[in-house]
Amino acid sequence: MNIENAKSQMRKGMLEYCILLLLERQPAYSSDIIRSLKEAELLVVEGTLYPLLNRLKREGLLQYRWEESRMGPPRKYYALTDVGLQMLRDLDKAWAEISNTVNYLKNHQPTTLQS
Amino acid sequence: MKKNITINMQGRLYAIDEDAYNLLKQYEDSLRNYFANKEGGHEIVDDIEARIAELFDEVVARGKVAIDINDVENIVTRMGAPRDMDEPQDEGADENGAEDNPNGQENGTQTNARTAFETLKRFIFRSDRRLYRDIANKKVSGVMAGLAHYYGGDVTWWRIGALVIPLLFMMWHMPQVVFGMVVAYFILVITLPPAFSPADRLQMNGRDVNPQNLAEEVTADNVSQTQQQPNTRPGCVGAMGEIIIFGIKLVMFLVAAAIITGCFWLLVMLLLLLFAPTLVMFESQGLAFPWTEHPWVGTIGIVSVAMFIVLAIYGLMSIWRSHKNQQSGLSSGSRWALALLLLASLTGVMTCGTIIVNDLLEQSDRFTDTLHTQHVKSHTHNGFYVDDDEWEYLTNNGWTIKQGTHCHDRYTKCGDYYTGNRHRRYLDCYDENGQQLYQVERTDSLLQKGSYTLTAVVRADGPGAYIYAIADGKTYKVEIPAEGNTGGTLWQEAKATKNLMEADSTKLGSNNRLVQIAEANDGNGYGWCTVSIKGIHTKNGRISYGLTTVPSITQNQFYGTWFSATDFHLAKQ
Repeated sequence: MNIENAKSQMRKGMLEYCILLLLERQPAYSSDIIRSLKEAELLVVEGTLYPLLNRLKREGLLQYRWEESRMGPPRKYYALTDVGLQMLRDLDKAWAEISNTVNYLKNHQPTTLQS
Repeated sequence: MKKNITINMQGRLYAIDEDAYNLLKQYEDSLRNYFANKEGGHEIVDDIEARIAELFDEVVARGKVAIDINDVENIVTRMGAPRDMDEPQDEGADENGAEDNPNGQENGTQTNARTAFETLKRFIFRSDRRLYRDIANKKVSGVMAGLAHYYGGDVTWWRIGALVIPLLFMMWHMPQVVFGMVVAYFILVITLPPAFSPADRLQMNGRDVNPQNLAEEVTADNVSQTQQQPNTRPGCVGAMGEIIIFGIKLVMFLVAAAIITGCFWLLVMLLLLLFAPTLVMFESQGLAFPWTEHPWVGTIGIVSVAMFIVLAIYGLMSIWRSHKNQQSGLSSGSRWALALLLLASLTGVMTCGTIIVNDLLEQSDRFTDTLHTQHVKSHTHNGFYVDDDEWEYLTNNGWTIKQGTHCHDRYTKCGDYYTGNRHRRYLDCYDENGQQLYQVERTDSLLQKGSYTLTAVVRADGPGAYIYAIADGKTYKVEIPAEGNTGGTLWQEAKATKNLMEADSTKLGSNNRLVQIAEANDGNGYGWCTVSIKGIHTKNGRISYGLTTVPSITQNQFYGTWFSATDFHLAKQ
């Protein structure tokens, strides 16, 4: 098992959660999301974002509106929906649970079975 | 210098280099293809395009006027391949993956032979790549380079092999194999597509056609193009290599021209043989192709030659056109069709050509045989072979060769006639071992009944040669005196008579026969003398006579090496 593969798997699982986290702080353009995710080293390939955003929107977790820009074409401005906010709370709980489980396994010795 | 075009992305115009545009277009097309059936796919691609436009804006903002290939490569790398973008739940679908090779599955009923055959087939027909002509790395036409890509191995070894193996076959006296290899090479040149686009080159090497690889190919292409000028190697080896390559190209051009011209003339000759055989130069020998015996051969031959010429010209023209347009003109299907038709027409030409040539050769042989037979017929006397002059003499003088063993095909001679006339022919035979069994005879018939005397002028260098006569079943003979080839009683008498007459101051002209005989052989004579047989009786008026050493007639054996006879004369007593 390759560490890079493992990290990549973990990142893929985390991506959705992290997008929701970012958008909870404030609505953003896709380019902003990309920049933040890259800074956090969660995103390697930018293209990954778009199918994900598309699905989240179709599932009703996100919404967007078109914003005119001074020097460029109109851009999509993403924000969380109420459903998305609720999903975020659930994900927070799930994250805490997983984190506890991992910590527990790390700190406790496995009990040996006595025959 | 590159061509620049303007594109419209999300309603904004960008100036972009042509090669950069091509890469971008391929990338977008691959995205659209990938997301075509996915829910929301259309929107995803639009979003990506918008993102790309944003990145273009950044490029322009940094001061560049036009988007170039580096920018697009960077962007493509950043955005990633469609597969990498997609979500984990779609990874099960394998529509782009390599096909599962059904032959790899376990099948207990397959025989060893079948698996061997399948392995061989997979070895020859690679499923992971395509056979192209690598014109970027070509020396002559990129066939060897393409084969090297397809089957592996360094192209230099392929080239060395391509030169050395034909030489080996020439050495082993098998030029047909070499000819076959040359033909195979030509067919490959005509029918293999050249690898023009980066996608072609990827497929040639068996690499996946995705945006990253495409980007690499295009970069490599640019790099090699810019590096080609300083890359020309100076020095002896490089120059010689260039000369050799030029030589090979020249030879190939000449060979192609020769083949096409040869086919053209073959076609012309075939048509002439069909419609106007009299015009063909073989007519003097009465040669003509037997259309009635081989109607199919002639027709197939003409059709094959015509087809070959047309196909070859078409193939060469399509190559020239595709080079001009910088793209492979023909589709895969038409390439296969072209190759098969070329092969078929070439087979037709060779088969029919061989049949026709063999037939003509056979006719020529038969004709020579006929000539020979005629020649032989006109040169045998009673089954004995003699040359023209002898044949004429024997025939004109009524002689028949009845026996001629160890006579070395010579039964007459001229040069030592007793009057010194070097052109006067007489019966003669020589064998250094004296083993001739000679019998030359003629028959006088319609004679009156009675007795006759036979006279002849003769000479020999040993006893055992006879003049003979046969009449009424009885054989008469007289031996030829062996006086050699000088002197002789004939000469002696003539000389004596001449001296007497001269002493008598009778003027003798130089044309006088006596003088001639006396002065023959510088006054030495040729050894001739006269013999006669008296009392030859005939009742039925037929007397045969001649010269012989045959023991059954002579009751003797010949002990010399040569003998001559002439001036046979039968006189009634």
